[in-house]
Amino acid sequence: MKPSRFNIWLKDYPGKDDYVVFNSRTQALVKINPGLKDTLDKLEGLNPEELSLFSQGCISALKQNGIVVEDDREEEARLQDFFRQLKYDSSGLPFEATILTTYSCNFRCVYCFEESVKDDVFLSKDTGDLIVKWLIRRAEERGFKRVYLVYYGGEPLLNVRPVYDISWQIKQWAAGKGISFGFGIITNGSLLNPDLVDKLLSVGLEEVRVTIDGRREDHDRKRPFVDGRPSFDLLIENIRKIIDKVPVAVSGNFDKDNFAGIPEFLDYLEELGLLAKLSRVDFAPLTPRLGPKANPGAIELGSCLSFVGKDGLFKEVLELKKELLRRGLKTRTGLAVNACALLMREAAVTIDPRGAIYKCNALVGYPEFSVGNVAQDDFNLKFQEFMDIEAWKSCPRDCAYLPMCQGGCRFFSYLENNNFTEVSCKKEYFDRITPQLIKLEYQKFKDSA
Amino acid sequence: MEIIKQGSDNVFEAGPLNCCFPAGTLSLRYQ
Repeated sequence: MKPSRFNIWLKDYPGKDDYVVFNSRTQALVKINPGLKDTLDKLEGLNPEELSLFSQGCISALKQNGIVVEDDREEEARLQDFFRQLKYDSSGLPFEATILTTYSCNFRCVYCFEESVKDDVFLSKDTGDLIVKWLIRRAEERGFKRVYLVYYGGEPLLNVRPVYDISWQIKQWAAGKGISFGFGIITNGSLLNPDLVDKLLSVGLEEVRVTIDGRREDHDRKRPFVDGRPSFDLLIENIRKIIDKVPVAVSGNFDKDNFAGIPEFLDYLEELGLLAKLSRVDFAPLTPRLGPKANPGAIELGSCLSFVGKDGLFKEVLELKKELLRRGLKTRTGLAVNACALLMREAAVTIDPRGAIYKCNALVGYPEFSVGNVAQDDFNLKFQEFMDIEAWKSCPRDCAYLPMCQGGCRFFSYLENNNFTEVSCKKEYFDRITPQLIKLEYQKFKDSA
Repeated sequence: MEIIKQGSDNVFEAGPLNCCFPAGTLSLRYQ
C-alpha cells in the first residue's frame, strides 16, 4: 500500500503538528495526527500486519477514502474510471439546458463576453417549439429524472414570451411523466417586476440570478444601460420588490478595478435588509473571451488573463471568498472537480436563439463551434470531436491536481493554442490557491458541524 | 484521525463539480 499521488497535504493545520489531507480524486478531507502521518510516509515498505490494530483501522479508512491506494496500478485504474464516469455516466444528474432567448441586450457591460456576437436576434415561437421537442426527446431517450432550464441572453427578459411558453410545455410534459422540473433566469435585473415573477412562478421558476458588480459607482461604470444611464438603483429596487416571492441570488464579476468596493456593497445590502434573504452570493474574476468574429482567437480582455497567469487575482479571489463565508453567506469555496461540459456526453447544453446547440457558453454565437441544431435529431461531428479530447493524458502523472484540473479549461486551450486539445497547465495557480481553499473548506465543514 | 469529509470513487457523489460558464451555473446546481 502507499499514499495516493493525488493527496494534497497541509502541514501545521489546523494546529501545530496537525496535518490535513485532501484527495483531489475522491475529494476526501481528513485531519491526521503526526504519528499516523509518519506511518503513511513509511507505508510502502511496511508489512501492514505489523501495524497496531488501531493503525490498521485508520489505514483501512484512508483506503476507503482514496488517501491510501494498493499500488500505482490500482490508482491508475481508478483514475481512468474517474474520467470514464465524467465522460459517460452523468445521466444521474439533472438534464440541464441553458436557453438564450435573445442575443440582444439593453445593457452595455464593458466586459461582455458576447460583445462580438450581440445581435437583434430573438428566439421565435417556431424555434421555441423545436427546442421543446428536442429537450423532451432527449430527456425521454436518456431517462432523466429532473429537467432544469436556465434562461440567459443577451438579456433574457427582453424576450420573455418563450420563457413562459417553453417552461409551460415542459412543465406539462414533466408532470405527466413524474419528472421534476424547474428553471432559473440569469438576468441583468432591469426588467424584473412582481407580476412577471408571479407568472413565471406558475410555470416552474425556482431562482432568479441578478448580476451586480459591487457598489453603485463600480457597477454603474461596468454595467450601464446601452444609452449610458446608470442601472444600480433600479436593480436594487427590483430585487427588493421580488425577494419575498422567489429565491434571488446575486452574482458579480470583478477585476482589480471594482474588487475593493465589494464589502461596501455587501454592507449596503445588509443595511437594506436584503443580504440575509439572498439565496446565494458569488463573485467571479473576469475571464478572457473570444474576439471579433473575423478573428475569434484574439484575447481582448488582457487584464483577466491574470486569473490563470502568474500573479492575477489570486489574493482577491481568496479574500472575497473569506469575506462571503465570514458573513455566513451561501457561496462556493471553489474546491471542486472541474466538470467540462464540452467533454461530457450528457452534460448541460446551451441553445441559442437560432436553435444552435453549444456545449460551452464561451463559444455561443460562433457556429463553427456549435454541436448541432434543435431542428435535427443528432449532434454533428463537432460533438464527437470535443468528446474525443483527452488533454489530461498529456499531464504529468504525478501532478496532485490532475483530477481537479484535467489539463485545464478547453476554452483557454483554444485561446492559448488555437485548438481545444492541448494542456493549459494551471499548476502554478493551483499551487498557490489550493492550500487556502482546503483551509476554507475545512473551516466551512467545522462551522456547520 | 478525523474524517472531515467523506470521499467517493463516484465523481458525482464525491463533491461539487465546477463549470466555468455560465457564471458557475452548473457548479451552483450540483453543490
